[in-house]
Amino acid sequence: MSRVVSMRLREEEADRLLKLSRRLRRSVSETAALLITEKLRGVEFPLIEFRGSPLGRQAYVKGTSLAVWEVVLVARQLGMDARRVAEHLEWQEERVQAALNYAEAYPEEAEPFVSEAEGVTFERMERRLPWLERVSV
Amino acid sequence: MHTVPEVLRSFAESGEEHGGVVLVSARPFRQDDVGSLVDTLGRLRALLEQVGPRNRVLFLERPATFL
Repeated sequence: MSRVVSMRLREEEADRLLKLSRRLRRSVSETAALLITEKLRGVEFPLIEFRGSPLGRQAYVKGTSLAVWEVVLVARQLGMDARRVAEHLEWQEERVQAALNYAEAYPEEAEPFVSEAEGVTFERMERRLPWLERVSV
Repeated sequence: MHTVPEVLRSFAESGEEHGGVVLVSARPFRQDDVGSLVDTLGRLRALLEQVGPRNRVLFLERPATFL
């Protein structure tokens, strides 16, 4: 469900929005909606920011190189214990908790990436890379 | 695991060489079990010294005895 909201921008800001929409290969409307959504989420979760990545725009933990879904991937292996994850990553626990809180609020974002990463097997990877070699030492 | 395969495919298609890549699944190696991973990589290194890693793409699995 979405609603049309009109807004007035200064000429300069409108030009920048147009340029960004071209770079993101989205319409101006989509780009404006994306920016507003990301900003609103950033207000709600101050330790989360959004960055472009090879997987598209994603939520990252500020000041780190990890996307939210990557923190969740680690957390799942450590019993979803923010303290253990923080120790493992050598982060402040607040950062880990912020990622887990964000993932809980927007599970549709992190879950597909976490599931795919957890489901990686030699057989599935070999379909993408036929020259892949299995090794066990 | 999400993006590296695409990079490797493009390398293969363009004939670009690389020094070898080892993919490690997140599941068999617990994130905080660094010791086991380092130990396994050490043994893998010994193996690669024999066969040569260049342009190889390996999927590292943990031996059943370690699971």
